[in-house]
Amino acid sequence: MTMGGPQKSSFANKIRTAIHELTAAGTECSTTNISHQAFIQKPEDHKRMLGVLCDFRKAGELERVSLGVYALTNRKKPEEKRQVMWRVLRMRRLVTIDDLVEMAGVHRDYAGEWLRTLEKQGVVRIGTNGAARLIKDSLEMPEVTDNAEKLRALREKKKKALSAALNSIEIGMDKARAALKDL
Amino acid sequence: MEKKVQFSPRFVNTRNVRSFAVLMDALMFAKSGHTDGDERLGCVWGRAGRGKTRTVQTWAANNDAVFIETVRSWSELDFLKKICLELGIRNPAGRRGKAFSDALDSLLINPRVMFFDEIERFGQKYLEIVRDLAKLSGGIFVLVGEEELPHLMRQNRRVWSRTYREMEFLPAEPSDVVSYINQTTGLKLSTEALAIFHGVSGGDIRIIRRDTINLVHVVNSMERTGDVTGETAKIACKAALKG
Repeated sequence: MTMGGPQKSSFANKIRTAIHELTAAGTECSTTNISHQAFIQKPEDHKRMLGVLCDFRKAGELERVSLGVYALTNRKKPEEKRQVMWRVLRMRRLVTIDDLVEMAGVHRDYAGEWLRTLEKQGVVRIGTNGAARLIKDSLEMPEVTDNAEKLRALREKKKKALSAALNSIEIGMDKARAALKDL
Repeated sequence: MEKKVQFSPRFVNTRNVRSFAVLMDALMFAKSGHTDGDERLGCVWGRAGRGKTRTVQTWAANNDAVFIETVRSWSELDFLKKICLELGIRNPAGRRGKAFSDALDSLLINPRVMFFDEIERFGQKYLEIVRDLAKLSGGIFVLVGEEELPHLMRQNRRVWSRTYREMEFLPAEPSDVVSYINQTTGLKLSTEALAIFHGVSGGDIRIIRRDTINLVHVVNSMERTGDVTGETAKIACKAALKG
């Protein structure tokens, strides 16, 4: 669920549209303004709106500037995020996950996963203290195949689960056969 | 069970960060032809530990700018080669003239903001190269350094006349300390704790960061809740040991 995603006429989208209209000039907006903009009249709908705002905040679409005041976050696409992380890595040569979280504005898990992928490709070396040192500077950002790796791992996991299930069925069948023989 | 306090690294908009953003906006605005004059150079200076490099690198990384950290042993050719490399020229020429024209061509085709860190260590030698690149490419060049940098730039009239603005990275203010600790840990400081944190750091953002991490450990180990007291702050800052 992102601000730029397909717009359905749900309650959440009504709120989203109102926020977009209010923050078009890059300004912030208060919950009262959002409520007015979205033509919310009932107290229960206002409460529901607060819940939606909370969801938006959790999803990273909104950030709370102060109590009851929100602003749209500058969300970047994963490719752009990786580019920013790559630039930070090239500039600093030695980075920690904290550096990437702080300077590229990415999630800790995402930064860690990205560094591990680069380590597998021989681009960085991760030390015992968790800091990654750039050892192969290729100017261009190396192609990250983390999704393919994730899918491979997922397939491997499924395969293992299925073969384990098959094994247990076979064991059960053998036991049944043995029991039949004994009868 | 009480929820543990965590340190979440975050780029905090301190006074210096805001001033730097204003400087960059003004330089970009001037570059877009909205103002007269051809000042394309910026000067960012301040004592070590005030967060200059980190701020500049964050801006550069998020805005596809070039950041060059100079190395003491470089020759002029090495400097030009590094510029070429950062501009995407894979095999920079082995001659100064060719390397300079390659860098210039690249900047004319694909203008990018360029930052040079600690250039003052080389005296006037590299300033002239930067000035020539700025003059011929019309691009934005920002020099980052310590206290000597503005003096060095002022000495060179041709460089100083092209300098749009200089900005000093000032010591962090008490409000910066409050913002930093609150945004990275969610903790609130009492007035006494704030005075301790600010006093011990001397406005050094690196020390504020270090003490904030210490503070998280102290708060968690002592299972403190509510606002950070002066006593907790003293332990975190190791001020108690200093007397």
